[in-house]
Amino acid sequence: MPEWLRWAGFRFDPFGPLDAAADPHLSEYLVGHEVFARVWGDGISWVFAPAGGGKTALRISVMQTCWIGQETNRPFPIPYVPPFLAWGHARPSEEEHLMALTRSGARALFLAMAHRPHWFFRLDVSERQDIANLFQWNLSGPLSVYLNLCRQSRQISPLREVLDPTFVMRDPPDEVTLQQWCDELESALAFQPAPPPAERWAHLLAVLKMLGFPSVYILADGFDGAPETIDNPMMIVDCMRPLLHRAEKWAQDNVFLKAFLPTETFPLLAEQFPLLLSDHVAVIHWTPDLLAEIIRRRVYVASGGNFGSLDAVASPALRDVETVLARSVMPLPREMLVLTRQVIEEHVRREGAEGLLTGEDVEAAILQYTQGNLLLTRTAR
Amino acid sequence: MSAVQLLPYSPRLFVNREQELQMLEERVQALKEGRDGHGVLILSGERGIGKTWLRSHFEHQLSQERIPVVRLDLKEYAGKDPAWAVADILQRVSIETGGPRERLGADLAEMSRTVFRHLQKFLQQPLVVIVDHVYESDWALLPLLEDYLLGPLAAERRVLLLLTGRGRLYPWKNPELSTLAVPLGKPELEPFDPLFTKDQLKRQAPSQAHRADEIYELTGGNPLANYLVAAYSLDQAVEGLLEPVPEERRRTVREYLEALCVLRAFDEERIPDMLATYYDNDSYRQWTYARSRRVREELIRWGLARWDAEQRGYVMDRIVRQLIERYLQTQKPELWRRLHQTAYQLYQQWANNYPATRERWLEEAEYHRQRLQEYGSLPSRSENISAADRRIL
Repeated sequence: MPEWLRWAGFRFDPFGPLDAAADPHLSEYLVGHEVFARVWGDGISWVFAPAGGGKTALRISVMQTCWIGQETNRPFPIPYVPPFLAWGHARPSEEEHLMALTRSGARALFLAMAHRPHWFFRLDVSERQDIANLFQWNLSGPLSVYLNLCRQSRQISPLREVLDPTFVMRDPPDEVTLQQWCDELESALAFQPAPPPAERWAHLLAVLKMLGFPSVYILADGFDGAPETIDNPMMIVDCMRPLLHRAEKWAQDNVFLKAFLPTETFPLLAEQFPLLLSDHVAVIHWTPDLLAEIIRRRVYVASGGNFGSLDAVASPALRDVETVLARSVMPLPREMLVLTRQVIEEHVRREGAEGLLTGEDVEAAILQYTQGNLLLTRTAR
Repeated sequence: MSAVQLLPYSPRLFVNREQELQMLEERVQALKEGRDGHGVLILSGERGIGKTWLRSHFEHQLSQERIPVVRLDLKEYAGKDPAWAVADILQRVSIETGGPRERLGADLAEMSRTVFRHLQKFLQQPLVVIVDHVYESDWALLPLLEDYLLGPLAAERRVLLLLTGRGRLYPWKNPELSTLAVPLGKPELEPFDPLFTKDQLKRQAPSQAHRADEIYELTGGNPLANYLVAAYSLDQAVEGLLEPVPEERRRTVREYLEALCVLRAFDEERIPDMLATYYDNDSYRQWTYARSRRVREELIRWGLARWDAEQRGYVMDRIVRQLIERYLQTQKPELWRRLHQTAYQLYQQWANNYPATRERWLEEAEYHRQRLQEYGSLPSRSENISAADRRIL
């Protein structure tokens, strides 16, 4: 398949990573998307989509967009997936939410700062102490453990694996700078006792402001991840309630809740929190047209803008390939990617690593998909 | 044939574009007052539509208002190593905004940090950054430029960023550069109407102003084409439109364009037949897909063709196609007829061979039949579309 993709003029495999977090081109596919436009920007926003419908992909894309550049002049993203396992229940109090949010924020800042030590180097002594305390109080383990991990490996990737494998930021520092950052951060530590959760949250926001971030985005996702919430939209709303009560006040302080939720929660939230949901709401219904557009966008990006449809690499006997495929799959982006890959695999199996896609390739792929639908879906997930 | 001289911009020769200029003025006003709402503007459109003149006129106005402008032309970096190009661009931005003139850092990240650290002081005043030939640029250059310059610049409140270019829109990761960027035009710059065409010719080619209606009919109001057709022969006007193509490739590229101009859309499958007819040489029909692709890629590289979602194929730049086809029709009518005839036969054959897409190819065949009919060159009886197929159409 890689050979055929090369032959057809693709710079990389745009149908490859089914896991959004592992796809380095995710933002390129998504930024032009109208749903992205609704989510981005200083304001509370909502994305409602079915399970497997691209919520996490959007959330990660927003996060990656926040990390563009070398400076702190863009929003600071806090990826917030509720820690149901740690809580042991799905009805968190406001305090539990604030604690978990602070931990997520500290984790994100720690990873970001490891990539951008110059944010730390330019601070004065007391500001450095604030940062060191923030990490000491809110990372899962003692700060020295993480710094030693960094020192021993002389790179950031082990930190990413431990703290957040989905974290992507360009331009990690060289070994010497990283070492210097570890040393200076550790020496700034004052070993003060941790304050209560609400104060720690306020401390995190104050630190982010001091660093120059103009706003904070709370990217709330995975609320359907607990056994109690997975098929229970009312339970999800209950779980979120403490955050929702805070959202408007936060917005006045440039802290914006951006929630990525299952479609079923939309009517409940709209009824209970009509003012919060009056604007910036995107409900994703995966129609065949929208699914076809996913493939076209990926083809455009991967072909370097040379062509925007598989029609360009299909025989004259086959036109509007994406729509044909979109009408044959379960209406989810991942399924569409699975079927598209299958078409190319069928082609390579039948005709080798060259040649235009044909109607036979499409028919064979659809047959395979239909017969093995459950298997494909299970494998993909 | 004497070389074609394109008219350099001059404020007294500039016409039209009131709406676009007003929009630019509003953005500049917001920028001067430190209000939100300046952001990123995109100026795109077909070859010769007036992007360069509008940009030049905007720069002229900014210089009168004493607003600093940094203009970067990405054409200068064509074929250069992308990392070297971005380093050079950062160096230029640094110098033009009062930053260090020498070594900015060991790598692009450090250079970018240095530039933006110094830029903060410069941004006590507004700054306009114009980047030309963005969409014609190498896609290996643009991600680096986005990460180290354009993305961070787009987030600065005292910067107005104007991106100009034509061709493939680049999928920026940064929403300020894509979704939130505002196009100057609807969404692209539009051709002049007949009145502005006349106004343009009065200023730029006064002796030909009486031909304004005739010229408009041929050019559809494309300002560069208006001028070229007024000042030169049709053959030379085509040469003028192909000016972005390096001289050593221009003749070959023009031949490809002449061979393909009769088609509403083309792809690698159609290229061999059209070239075989154009060069009257059947060996072209044996061309591999890869060889045809080189032709298609070259036309895209010079911004003379692009993928079209509606046509589901590659389409030539509108004005280039229009002038070249008119040139063939009037100067080489037999060749023009044979090319249409070839296209007609090719689509008939496809309609017969590919039942699933039959209707589509019949439509194309009908288009070529009508073109030939309009000019009294109907295909022979045996090649006409059957009565059954007419019913489908």
